[in-house]
Amino acid sequence: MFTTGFKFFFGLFAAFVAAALVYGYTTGGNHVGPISLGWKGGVGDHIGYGVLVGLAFVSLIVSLVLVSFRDADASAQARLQNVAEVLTDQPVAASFWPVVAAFGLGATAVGLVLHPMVFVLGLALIFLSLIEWTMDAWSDRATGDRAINRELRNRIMAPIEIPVVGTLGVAVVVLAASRILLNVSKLEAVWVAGVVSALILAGAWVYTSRPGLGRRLVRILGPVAGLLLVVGGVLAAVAGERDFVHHEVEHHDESGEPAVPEEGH
Amino acid sequence: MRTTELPAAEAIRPRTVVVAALLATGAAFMVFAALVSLYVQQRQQAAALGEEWFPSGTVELGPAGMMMMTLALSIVTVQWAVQAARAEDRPHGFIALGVTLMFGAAVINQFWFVYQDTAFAIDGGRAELLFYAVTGSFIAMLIVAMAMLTVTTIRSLLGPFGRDLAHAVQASALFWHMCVLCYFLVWYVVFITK
Amino acid sequence: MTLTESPVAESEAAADADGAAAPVSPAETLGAPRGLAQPFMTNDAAQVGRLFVVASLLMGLGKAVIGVLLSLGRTDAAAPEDLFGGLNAYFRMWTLYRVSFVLLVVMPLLLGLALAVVPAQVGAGNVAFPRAALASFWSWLIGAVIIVASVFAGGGWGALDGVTGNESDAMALTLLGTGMVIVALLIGAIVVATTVISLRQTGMSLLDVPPFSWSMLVTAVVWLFSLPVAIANIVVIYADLRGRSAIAFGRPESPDIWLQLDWLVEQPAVYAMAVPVLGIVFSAVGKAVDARSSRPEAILVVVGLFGLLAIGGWSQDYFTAPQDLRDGLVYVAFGLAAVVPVMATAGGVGELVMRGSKTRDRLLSTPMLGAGAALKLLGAATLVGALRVIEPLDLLETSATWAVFHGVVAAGLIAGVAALATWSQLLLGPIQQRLAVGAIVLLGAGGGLLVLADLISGFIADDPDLMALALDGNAALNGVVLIGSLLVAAGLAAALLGAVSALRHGATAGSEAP
Repeated sequence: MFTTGFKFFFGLFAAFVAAALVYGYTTGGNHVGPISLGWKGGVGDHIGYGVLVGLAFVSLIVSLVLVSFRDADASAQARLQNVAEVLTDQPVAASFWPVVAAFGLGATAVGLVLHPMVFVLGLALIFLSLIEWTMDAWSDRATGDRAINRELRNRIMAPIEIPVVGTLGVAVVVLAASRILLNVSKLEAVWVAGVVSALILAGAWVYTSRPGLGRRLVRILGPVAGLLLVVGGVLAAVAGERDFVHHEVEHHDESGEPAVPEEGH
Repeated sequence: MRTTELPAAEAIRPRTVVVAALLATGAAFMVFAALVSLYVQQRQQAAALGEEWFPSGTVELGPAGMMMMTLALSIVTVQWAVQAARAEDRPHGFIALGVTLMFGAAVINQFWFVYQDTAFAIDGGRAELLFYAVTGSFIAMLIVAMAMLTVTTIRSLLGPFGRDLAHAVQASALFWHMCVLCYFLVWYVVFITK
Repeated sequence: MTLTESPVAESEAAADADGAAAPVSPAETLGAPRGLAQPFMTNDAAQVGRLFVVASLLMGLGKAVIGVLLSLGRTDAAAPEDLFGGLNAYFRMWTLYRVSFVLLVVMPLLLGLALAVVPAQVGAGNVAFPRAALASFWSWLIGAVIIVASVFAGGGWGALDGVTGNESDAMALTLLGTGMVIVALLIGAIVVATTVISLRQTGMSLLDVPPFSWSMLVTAVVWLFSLPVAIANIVVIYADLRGRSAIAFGRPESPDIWLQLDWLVEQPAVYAMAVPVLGIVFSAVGKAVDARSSRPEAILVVVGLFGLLAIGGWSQDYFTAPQDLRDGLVYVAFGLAAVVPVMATAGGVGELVMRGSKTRDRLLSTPMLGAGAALKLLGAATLVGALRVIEPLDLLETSATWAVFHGVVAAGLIAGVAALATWSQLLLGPIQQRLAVGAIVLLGAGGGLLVLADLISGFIADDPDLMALALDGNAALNGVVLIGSLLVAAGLAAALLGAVSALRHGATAGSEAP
């Protein structure tokens, strides 16, 4: 009749009620305060009493729900579904969105203290992962065919994901590269741009001439180059841009002599 | 071939998500129980020292009562959503979820008015600080509850309005009811017995 | 019709038409990640459990080194000012050491074990929400990094000389990191508890659940009911700190932030990380001697009772005068009663040994040694806890508090090593016996010395010195504390070495009976 889960949580409820009453009366409660939740009389130390009453309330609710679920026994759940037996294993596809959500949470926490932009970025990551996670969870069980499930998920999300990720990728590359080029001197910027372009050209040549090797190289060097670019961009952004002296429009000073335009460096 | 012609996913354990929501709800309630206990303890301490808690006339009962009424109505609408999901009644389900979300948004809007109306500064003292800590935590919980309902609504847009979804709606409703209970505490402790 | 029906129909028609649709195997569609992607994408909770175990042991080694430095600072060999750059910095490390061993070492270690072992014990293929388990690990790890980085940047849980503007940001980060770690542990706890409640195999009632799984259900409930109270504290402290309301709750020249949260590392809340120790002891001994208890329901009651007595949060003495609460009947009753379930566990273990196979190999096996050492240390901790609440002994605000803490932490770590040896195939792989035994012996000896030194120090202290900041304690005892800390650090190093070498051999999940 009474399930094990119910007995455990109801036992907790009874213990916490007793503890709250004793605690209330022994820490300054009077009249019927601890019995009536402070309606008539004091309850003693409010924090301890309040927490103990909260614990009792939560334990009671959990005990009642568990007994109504028959402790969520497999047989009770099978009856609810009108099937002979319910699965113990629920297929779940691999996903990196939980990690994105965790990073979003971290960024929100750090941003709350350090910079509003980081905070907003964190919230955006959490929101994005919430949507993606929901879609993943739905697609796990959309049909009984896992291949179709994956296709369904991609069919809905890919038209959104690919342009968004593409735009973000381009934005990051442009932003990071521009920070690096603006940080180094004018001559170094030309060298950096030239060398990187030559490396990309060489990489493309290897990729087309020896596809097998090229693919492996891209798989290894691609993430490394991306990471270097982002790290370099962040460091350059922190260091700031080089000093600029703008070309001035040629004009005559009061003496009538033309001003000598200065060169940026 | 349509998805309805494909083999359906095997029956999963229906109670899983409800049990998890029940435990999460219990944990969230304990956060609030501790916050309210701390609030009352500090107010009691201030009263014992003869200090004024809120300056008279700053905290009005009207908006707080209106929020209580709104949330009381939302208890009905969220259960309406649960019932509609169980009965696989898509139109009613959408209406119920939408109305519940609207009630949630209305409460947040009303809180914004309360903050403007009271014009408390967070560094104004113990009372003001705890006022923001308690009500701010409630708003955060309400936003989580609304997010849960939104996710449920999105899922219902994508697939059948069936039993699986009913359990998810039931889990969201559980958290929603806890939020309403928490607001009841706020209403009574912060606004009524101020 | 749902949103998704028509496009699939079209795609399949197209595929049929050109005949180019390649069949995709279930393994491919589920996409079990390999290599470097595994820790970021895994859908297998056992792997998440392994991540928790290795990361928490690594974290433990770092914190044990801090413990050694703190102990060194108490001796005449080096002054804390030289070691840490001032008393404030000493206090920061002192608090980091305590909070870390609870939130960043023992709790995640036991949670990791549960994620790997519990599904197998209840007959489920995986935990209830594998993605939530993965999110739990990464949130915990990021939160832990935020905590450690912010403490080293001048943050922490308060300052002895009051909070200055510069420290405020770093302290806010420490608080948010603490909140994040707690939320992550709560998510993990929900995953484990839901698995035990809702994913049991057909025919297995909650009464039939193995002791470790039951203890993890009780632990999850204890964490879910008491850790949120710390979140409430953090909300108020954070608002106080950021609102700059002249630290409304703070008084100048005092570590007020820490005092609002120190209940987390004191009894009864500190026992919250020891509840699984009882489950591991019952399961490990039962498996070692190949016996089952004649009264399984008694095990459930014993573990459940210890869980009840481990729920904290109600015993906060910061806002009210400590003597009102800590001398109160409930606090005393909780302190005294905590001994009972530990002693009952010892009795239950005795019964298992009597009923089981008593060969020398079995009785001297690593799980048996670990279970014995963990139970002894937990027993010592609860005994000291009981002495602490006896008012005439005047131990409440003394280092006896840390005797309880050290006993529980060491018991948790040893139980973790015993669990790694007991369920080696489910966890990391076969752990080298020498390393496992070495870790158990070192942790046991180190923990024992710390408990003893802190207890004696509490008895001989003239004035309450909860934070041991006076630094003028008995020189011999300070030396013992240093040796104890060194042994614990060595024990953690051995455990980490064992875990890493076991990982290299690899786990073959599901190849042994849980």
